[in-house]
Amino acid sequence: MPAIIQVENLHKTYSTGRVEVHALRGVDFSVEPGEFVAVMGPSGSGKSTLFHIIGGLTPPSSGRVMLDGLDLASLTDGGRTALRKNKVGFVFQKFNLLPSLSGQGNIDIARDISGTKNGYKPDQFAEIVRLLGIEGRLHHRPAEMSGGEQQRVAIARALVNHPAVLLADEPTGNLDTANSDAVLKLLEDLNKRLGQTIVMITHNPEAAQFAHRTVLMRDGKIHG
Amino acid sequence: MVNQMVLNNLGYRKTRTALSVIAVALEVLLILSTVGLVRGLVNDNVARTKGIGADIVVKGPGASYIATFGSAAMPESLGPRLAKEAHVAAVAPVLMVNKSGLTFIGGIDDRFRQVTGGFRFTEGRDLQGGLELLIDDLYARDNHLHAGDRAEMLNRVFKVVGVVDSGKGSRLYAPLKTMQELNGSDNKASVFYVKVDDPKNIPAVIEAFNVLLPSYSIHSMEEITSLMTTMEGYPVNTFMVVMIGISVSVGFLVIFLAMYSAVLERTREIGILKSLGGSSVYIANLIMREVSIITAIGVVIGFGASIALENAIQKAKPTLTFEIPVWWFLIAAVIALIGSMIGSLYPAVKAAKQDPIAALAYE
Repeated sequence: MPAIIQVENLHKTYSTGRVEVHALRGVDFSVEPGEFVAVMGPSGSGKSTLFHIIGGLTPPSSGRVMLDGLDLASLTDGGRTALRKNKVGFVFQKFNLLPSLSGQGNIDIARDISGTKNGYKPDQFAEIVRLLGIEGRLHHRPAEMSGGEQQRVAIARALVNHPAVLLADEPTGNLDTANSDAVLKLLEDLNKRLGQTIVMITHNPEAAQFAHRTVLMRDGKIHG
Repeated sequence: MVNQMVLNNLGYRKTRTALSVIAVALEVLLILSTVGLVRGLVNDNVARTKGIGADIVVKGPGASYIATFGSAAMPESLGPRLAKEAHVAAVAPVLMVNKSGLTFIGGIDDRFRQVTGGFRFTEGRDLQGGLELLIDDLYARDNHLHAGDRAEMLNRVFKVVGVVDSGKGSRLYAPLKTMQELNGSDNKASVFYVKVDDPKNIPAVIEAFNVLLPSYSIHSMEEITSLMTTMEGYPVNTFMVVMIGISVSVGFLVIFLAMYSAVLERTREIGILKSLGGSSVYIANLIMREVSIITAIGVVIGFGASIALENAIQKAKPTLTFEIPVWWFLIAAVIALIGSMIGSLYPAVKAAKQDPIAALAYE
């Protein structure tokens, strides 16, 4: 089976005024369908940049990035928007729920944006919500939820359109130990039950242990 | 779902939403009240000018052919001369004397009654001479005056001898001779109202008058009232355009600032929507929908306030005619909507162009 993510010789350079920052310096990396991969590395190693490029939030400077058969290097801004809509689901460290909407509203807006063509059927998604343990919390607004509940709603929102890849950026970075473990177990469970491909960026070696394998980054390159 | 989010966003910052709605309502109120007052003034003028019943209006050289007032530039003796022309049935000299503001006293004599067909009295009797005054019913109501009352104007105390139905030129009338004396305009008139024996002879009479008085302002009543209706050449027309421009600017600026601050405040939320695959059009659409709702509510409140103001003015000041043509409600709504849309354009484009990574990192 072909890799769902295939990254070859990926470079990303940011220009901040006259200074050029080489965030990625030739990254080669692949993820098989159904894999749960953790990307670890110190601050400034380029893992967030890799996350942003795979998620279609920013284009690569050079190199090849294939995601579920799509060549990201060739995508326009509109193409990357479509990629985020249909192919990837994001889970962020700060949950990033829309404060004016309830938990259900946050999930519905993601479905509304994607057009619900490829998403889970309602009964399947109800099962995911039950698995996440947030059935009773969906009518609450984010401000009325705990951090753990917010992150579980964010996971439900990321999954609602049945993405090819779930990208999680430090998903436990703002949670206490108990909630961190619960969220990581849920990601592991979702990976096992649904076969959901997950790429998780983390600082935490304990969190990385929930993944099938860990990729280490340093100075914009993969180091094993 | 989008509408739900838009409504929630509006409710999230209640003060900002309320201020934006009030600004749009004020914009609509300002447009409609300006139009109402200007239209009221013009239509009332047209109705009262038409109500005189003259066919031709003769004014001195250089006089405004629309305004019902002007300087006493013409010798009264011109009247009998004009009356000698063929097909002229009656000629009435009138001396318009400014009382205050836009209120004029028409100095008239019996010849005015020949042209107009006379007044309809609701109280009292006709003018006989001296410091006597006829007032129309609206002026009477406005100033709580009745036949027999005293009224001070032009530094004299006039006796109100009668109250007549409004609609025949001025709201106040006094004897022509009295007005000429008080104004220092002996044997002068500001305007001649001419009645023709048959309306079909009006062009011929005007032609004859033009030969007789080449530099004078001589127009048919139809021409004058039609020009007044279209407000061509009226300074109030410019005033109306300026007032509408100012009100649209106020609405535009408030919406611009409200939506600009909303976009700044929601930078992170815009980043979230972008991460979910929200396109630039989707994001801009959210801003535009929000502005549309604010504008719609503001327009409805503005309509209500305008109607309330119209009723209040008509009750408190009957002589201040306030008429909002129905189609102006639609025009005001469209103007407000366009102003709001233009005001929200830059914030919407700014929101749509947000870089998702920078927006998500925004604190």
